[in-house]
Formats: sequence, structure tokens, C-alpha cells
Amino acid sequence: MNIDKDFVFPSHVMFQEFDDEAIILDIRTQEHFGLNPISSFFLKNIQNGIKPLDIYALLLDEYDVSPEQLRSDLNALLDSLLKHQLIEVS
Amino acid sequence: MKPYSNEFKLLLEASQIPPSTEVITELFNKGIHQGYLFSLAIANGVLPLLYGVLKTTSHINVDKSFQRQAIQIQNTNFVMSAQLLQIIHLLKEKKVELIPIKGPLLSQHAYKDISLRPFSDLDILAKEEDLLEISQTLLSLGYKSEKDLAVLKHPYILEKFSDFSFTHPQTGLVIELHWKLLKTATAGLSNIADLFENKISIPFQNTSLNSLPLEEEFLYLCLHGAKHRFERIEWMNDLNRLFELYHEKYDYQKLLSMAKKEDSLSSYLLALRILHLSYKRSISDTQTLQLMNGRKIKVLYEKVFSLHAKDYILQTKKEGIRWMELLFSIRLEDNFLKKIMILKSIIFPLYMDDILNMKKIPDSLTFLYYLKRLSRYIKTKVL
Repeated sequence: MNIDKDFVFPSHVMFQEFDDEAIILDIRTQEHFGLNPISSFFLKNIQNGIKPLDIYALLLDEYDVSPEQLRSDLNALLDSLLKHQLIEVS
Repeated sequence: MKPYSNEFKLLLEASQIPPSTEVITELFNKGIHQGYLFSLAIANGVLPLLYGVLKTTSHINVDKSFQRQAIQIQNTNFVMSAQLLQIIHLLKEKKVELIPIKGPLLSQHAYKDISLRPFSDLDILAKEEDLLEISQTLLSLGYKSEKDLAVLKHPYILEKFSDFSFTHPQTGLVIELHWKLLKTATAGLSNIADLFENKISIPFQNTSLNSLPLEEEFLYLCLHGAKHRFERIEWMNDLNRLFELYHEKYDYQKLLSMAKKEDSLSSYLLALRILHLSYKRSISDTQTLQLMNGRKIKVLYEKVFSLHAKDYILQTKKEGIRWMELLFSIRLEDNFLKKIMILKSIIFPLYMDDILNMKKIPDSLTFLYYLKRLSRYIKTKVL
């Protein structure tokens, strides 16, 4: 499961928060993706060097969501980011 | 002398590190016109900074237009930063180096946030031998140049001009490609090889970017701000932010010596006087402190103060020669010969087309360009 690994942003990626949302962009292609508040919170903490499992615990405290659902959503997010080379395993 | 308006005082207070909530509250209690404040903040390039301060001052209700404008600047800065990184990435693959100046890098370097400092274009400094390669890369990204790239091979153009613009027709983004830091630089700041040799690295997003060496960056921004009479608070803020970060690292004797070599001591001292008086910065170097209290610097500072007090930045500028600006530039200039050159460049400006239209002439005949300028002056002003 991806959530058990550690991640970093590659040097070709820009991540910027806009209030409670964010954009992640590949500078090579200028392809970009809008992120909802939960994804934004997750990636902001990844950028700050916090482990995915610790962020998962923070989110579980903050939001009314089942552990299984949150784990599945975060894994899907990480899958998608890995596929687009917007994040890499450290 | 006319005092600052409450709105201008508010912008200055919001620019302090840290700003005082008491002073801001007091200014609001005295009366602040939010529409006027909004216009003044945009013109001074401090709206995101002001909005950031006001939104954390809980009892102040800020008009929605401030938030909208701050978000718009944030979006623009993000897009422009992404574009800068793409250009650097593409050029890195071709082993071409450049140094971004001002723009996103300055915002990140001085403010630690690309959203806090508005910028309208991207400025990049390059070595002369890389100009064509960089230009080709910009063209491949869809940028257009007003003139043929051949101008970048013309020695007289390279000598007399300092930059060349590219515009993206779809996004409207403008990139200024510089091969000199200042048109008039004569010493350290004009030695591009040295600037590249001594460049430093600044963390930017998930990578790092080249930046000018610390003293050179500070001096360049002092000279740039002084050239524009520090009309915008953002130019003073840039220096204040950098000073906050590096005042203990700066070599003041080196700065003084570089400023003297550039014949720009007055510009540098004016900037320091502004930091000292408008931002309460203490200058530890006694020689610098003594020099910046000289009569000429005091007069220049008073002029900057009066321009701020009468909102010169918001005034509609007339076409043609602006005598106040010309007089300020002449007064600021330390070298008598350069004072004459300023007058000459205003009355008889040299355009790239003057050189291009006269085809290539031998170096010994370059004085003919002056005749061309004189003939244009006679045509437009006399006939």
C-alpha cells in the first residue's frame, strides 16, 4: 500500500496552496491538477516532510470519515500522483 | 511638507516586520477610505501583503475586492513562476545557465512566499553567448519578439542596450532577456561573467534557482529603486526584507566600494536612508551612516517623501519629457559626465531601429547614429 511509504516532490513539480485548495503542476509540461482541501492538506504535509501515515492519523481526527474509506482515498490519490510523476518514493 | 495620508501610513505599517496591530487599529479609527486604500495598495505593489495583515486583524472588515485581487495576484504569480521554472528546465537540458532577477525569485527569496510580491513580467539575466539559444527556446514555447533575433548579434546593440523583450500572444506574458543588469553599469554589476561565477542558490519550490550574489543583488535593487525614485513601496519593501535576512552578513565596505565604482553612491545611500528612517533599520557601519546623513542624500530623501505624500504613483503621467523625473535623475547621478548623458538620452533617445535602419556600419562611423538621433529630434520637435 502506498500510504505506508515515504514520498517527496520531484524537482520538476510545483505545489501551491490557494486558501484551502491547491494546485500541483509539472513544470516540464505545465500540466496541472486542482486539489480539494483534503488532498491539499495531505500534500502540504508531505512537502513539510511528514509521513503519510501520520497525516492519515491527523485527517482521521479532523474529518468524519471511516478509516477504510480514508485509507482507500489516500492510496488512490498517491496512485494518481505517482502515475503522473508528480510525487516519488523517497 | 505635506504629511502622508492615513492610507499611505497604513501601507507602510503593513510593510513593517512585524506590523503593529495597535498602529493599524489607530489608523482605522482615524478613518481609512477603503477604495482609496485599494488603489494605493495596487499601485504600490503591496496589496497581497496588506491583505495578509488586515485579514489577521480580526476586528477590521476588509472589502471583498482586496481578497479577490490578492487571489488574482496569487494565481498570476503561480503561472509566471511555473513558466520561469519550465524555461530554466528546458535551458538546463541545453546546458545554458541563467539568473532570474526580480519577479518570482525575489518574492520567494525576500518574502519566503511567491504570492506576496506582485510582478508583471519575468526578467532573466544571461551571458551574451547564450542569448540566441535562450531566444530560440522562448520562440519554441510560443513567445514572439518584436524584432528579428539578429539584433542580438549586433555588437553596437549589445553595447548600447541591456535587454530584449518577448511576449506570449496567448497568455500576454512578457519575458525580458537581459545581458546587462543596468544599462549604465560600468563596474562590478556589469561584469556578467563574475556574477555567474559568484552566483548563489536559493530554494524555490522543490528545486533551487540561481540568484545574484548577496551584495550585488542588494546594490542592484538599491539602484533600481532609486532610478524609479522609490515611487512604489514594493521597491523599499524588497530591500527591507533582504536587509532583515542579511544585515549581519552584508559586507558594507564592499557595498560602498561597489556603489562608488558604479558612480551610484547616492542611489545606494538614499536606499539606506529610507531603510533607516522609514523602516527604523539601524546601520552598523559608521562610514555608511555618516555618508547617508550628507546634505545631498537628505534632499533626495525629502523628494522621495514628498512624492509619496502627494501620491505621485497615482497621478496620470503626461507624454513627453517629465521634468521632475529628469531633475531627480540628474540630481541622483554622481558622475558629471553621466548627468550630461542622461540629458542626451532623454532628448535624443537611441532606439534599436536607429541602428538597424542604418545597416551595419564600421565602428569608426558609429558617431553617425547620433546624427540619426538629431535628425529625428528635428523632424519630430521642430518641423
